[in-house]
Amino acid sequence: MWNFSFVLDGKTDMMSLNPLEMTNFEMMGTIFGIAGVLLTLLRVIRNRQRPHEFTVHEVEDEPAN
Amino acid sequence: MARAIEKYIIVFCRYYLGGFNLVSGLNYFVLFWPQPKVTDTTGNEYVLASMQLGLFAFAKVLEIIGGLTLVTNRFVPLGLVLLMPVTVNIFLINAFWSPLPHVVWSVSRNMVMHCILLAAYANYFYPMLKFRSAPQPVWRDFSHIWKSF
Repeated sequence: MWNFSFVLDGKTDMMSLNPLEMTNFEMMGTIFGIAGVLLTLLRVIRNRQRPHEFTVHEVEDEPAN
Repeated sequence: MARAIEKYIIVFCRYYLGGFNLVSGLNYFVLFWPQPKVTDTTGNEYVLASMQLGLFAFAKVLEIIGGLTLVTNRFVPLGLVLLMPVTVNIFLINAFWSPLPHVVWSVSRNMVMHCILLAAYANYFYPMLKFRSAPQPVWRDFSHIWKSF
């Protein structure tokens, strides 16, 4: 079995209810969660069309009959 | 504004649960960190028996698949259904029996997040509430599968 000795946090007081004290899995979940929210925010900001960025399409007026 | 907050709460829950399960599942096969120790509780024998039966490895495979669906935002309702037995089992084993408050808090939070996500994607589960249902076997028309994509 492969063993990457990759330490993220390691030690957690299992008797504590402090939400900032997290196991490795909880910390990975939190990192994914925050990254996901930030990515979604970025995507929303990027896709938002600002008023000064409207492209003008010239339309030829047809003469009224 | 409330809609936006709701949206980001759902996004956070999806990524949190996805990341948690994906890493937890992967950690079983590729040991990033030492596996959590089984504490001496009433559910201890159940966990050890499930390890001997290979159910634990199966649950970890489900965690990887379910975690990937949530993180990549593909087949999310399917991922939630796949992960539900794992979340419920972990919750039932630990929430009422674990002597460690952190574990009780952690499994309860995961259960709540899972319920939030099931409620958020409820529109995909409403057809299950059909009172009287007729069978529509998949083998009669396999094209239904890829038409659903």
